[in-house]
Parts: sequence; C-alpha cells; structure tokens
Amino acid sequence: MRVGEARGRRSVVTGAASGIGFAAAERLLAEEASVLAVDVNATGLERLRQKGAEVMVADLAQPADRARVIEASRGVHYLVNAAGIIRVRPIFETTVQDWRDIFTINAEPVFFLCQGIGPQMPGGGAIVNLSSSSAKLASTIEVAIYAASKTAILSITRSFAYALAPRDVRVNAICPGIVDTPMQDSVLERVAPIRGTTVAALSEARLKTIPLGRAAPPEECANFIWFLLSTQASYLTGQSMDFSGGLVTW
Amino acid sequence: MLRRRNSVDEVTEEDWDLQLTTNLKAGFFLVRAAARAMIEQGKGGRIITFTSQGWWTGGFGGSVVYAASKGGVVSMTRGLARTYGPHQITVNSVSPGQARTRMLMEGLKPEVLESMTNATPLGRIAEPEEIAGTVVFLASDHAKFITGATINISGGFLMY
Repeated sequence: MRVGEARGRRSVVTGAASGIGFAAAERLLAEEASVLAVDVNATGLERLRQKGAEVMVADLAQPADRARVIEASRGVHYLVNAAGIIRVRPIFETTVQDWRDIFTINAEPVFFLCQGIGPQMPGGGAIVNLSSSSAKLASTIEVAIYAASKTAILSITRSFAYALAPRDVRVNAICPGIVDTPMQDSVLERVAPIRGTTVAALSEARLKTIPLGRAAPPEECANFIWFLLSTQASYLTGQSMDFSGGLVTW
Repeated sequence: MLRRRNSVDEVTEEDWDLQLTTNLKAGFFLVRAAARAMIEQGKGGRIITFTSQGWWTGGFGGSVVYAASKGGVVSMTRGLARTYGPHQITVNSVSPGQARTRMLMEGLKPEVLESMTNATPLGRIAEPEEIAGTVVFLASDHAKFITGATINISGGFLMY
C-alpha cells in the first residue's frame, strides 16, 4: 500500500447509510478517495454527505435505479457492494416472497453492479463484496435465505474475479462474523423470542463461540475492506475472506 | 523449505522427516514459545505462519510430502488460533501462490513458468512484496479481529 494511493480516486459504496457500508465509506473518505454513497435510506446518507461524500438515493432492487448507479460510476477505481437486508423467520415458515425479496436485494445487485461497473474500471481497480460467515455456517436457521444469498455472493465474486482479471481488476468477498451493526441488533431481537430466550442470553452465548471473545465494530471491518481494495492486496483475487474473530476458519 | 522429488515412489523416509520437521514441527514449537512470551507480556500479539497452495491441492508428484506438511500448518494455525484467542493473540496463515523467489525460479523451465502464468487469472506470478503486503496487514492493528484464517495470495489460481 502506498500512502495516499486513494487520493483523488473515485469509489462507490452501496448500503452506505449504516453499518459496514457506512464505515467503509467513512474509511474511503479518510483515505481521501471521493465517495459515491448509495442507499435506499436518504436520512442515513445525510451524515456521509456532511462528511464530503456524494450521495445517491437508490433502490438497488430496481433495474432502473441500478442503471443510474452504473451511469454515475464511470471511471471509479473501487466498488464496495455492502447493501443487504435480513429477515428473521423460522425456516419452515419462510415463503417464496421472502426468497425473492432477499435475493433481489442481496444477490442480484452484486451481480449486476459487478457486470455494469467492473468493465469500466481502470487496471488496478478493485471490488469488495460483503458476504457473511453465515454463507459458510448456515447455522442460524431463522435466516436461512439470507445465508443462501450470501453464499451466492461468494460464487458471484469468483466468477467476476475470473472475468475481470484480464483487466487487472480484482474481486474479493469478506465474510464478517458478529459485527456491531443495526442489522446484528435486529437479528438478536427477533431470534431470541423464536428460541424462547432473551437477547442478553443469546448475545452472550454467541460471543462465547468466538475465540477472540468479542464482536467487532464496523470500523474494523472497514480496515479489512480498505486492505483488499489497496495495492497491498494486489495479488489477491476471488477470495472469500473471513472476518470473524476465529468463529470461522475456512 | 522444499525438497522436490519427481514421483511419490522416489520419496525416502529421510525426505519425509526433514520436511515435516522443518515445515511443521519447528513451526509448532516456535509458535508455542512465542505465544507463551506474548501471554506473559499481556498485550496480545500477532503470529503468522506460512502454508502453500499445496495445502489445498494436495501437491503433485513427490511434492505430496511438502503439501502434507503445509496442510498440517493450516490445521495447526486454526487450532492455535482457538487456543490463544482468549489472550487476544491472533494466529493466521499466509498461502502464497507462485512467487518470484529462489525456491520457485531455480531450475524452473520457461515452459513450466508459462503454464503457471496461464493458469493464474491475473496472468502473472507474484512479486515477493505482494506476499509481504498481506503479512504486514495481518501484523497490524487493522487485522486484530482476524484469526484462524488462511489467506490465499495466488492471483486467483485458487479461489476459496
């Protein structure tokens, strides 16, 4: 990594209004990259606008909105696909509509933004897609469709790693374990009653499964994202990188 | 370290012992000694081991022994990550693909180098600095939540 290598380069971050996407956008701003922050939540984007990001309200489930994002992304050096939703429901009660809603937000835009933006990126450009430990574990069965959509992201990452390697554009995925985000809080609040336990007890039980014994703040995950985007990772592509405090080691 | 043999049939017990001792046994006892010192200091720590693409591919010909030792490194790294996690000591492994080192380049036929390059999506072998970039990242504060991982720096030769 060269100090200041992001200076003046353009980046796009989806799901930038909160959680890991927000932290990634902040980190890119700190690296002096220009940031196009995309989210469906206009209020959340406002904080990034005040920090100097360009913002775009877009519903990535809509092809027309994706086209706007792709159009605004010409010449970007970095793309972070962090937009995602989760829906907690017992596995035997999930519906076809749940499947379609979740895949339409979590997997479809990752594919089509890689397809639309990747070929316009200059050599040395890089993409990071946000998957999840659940892509490998799938043990929280109340979020089985979310987990499946995150496994799809690993496959999409590999395919575009092959497709964009001749342009020297790298594509990697990160699999975060437990990160302190609004999404994590909502999962605990909804899973606990399904399992007949309390949020505190469930949270404690999950932290016990992590060798490092703690959850991570999103800023730590943003450090990893920046590493993968930077020239420090110039020979890394197509990888599913764990960020889980040792929860997952494969 | 690497001791090449053209075929499994040529591998001697001495080859086996030398590679397993150097690549795996020495690593275990050195890591343990370092971790004990880090625990005593009470400030956590960073341990980085080196494996190889062979840990996943299983190696070819006589390099099966080398690959087995490197598979052991990955197992050991995961187990030690769990052991030392509560002390905030991270243990990770780096898995380089083909890199421009003496170990690779010595006696390497140009056509073999070309086939390696062709099999790598990024279309080139790595410079040693590109492997070092990941080592430096893992050693930094930025990577303090990453442990038990095997980071594959192969230009996309392997994707997992």
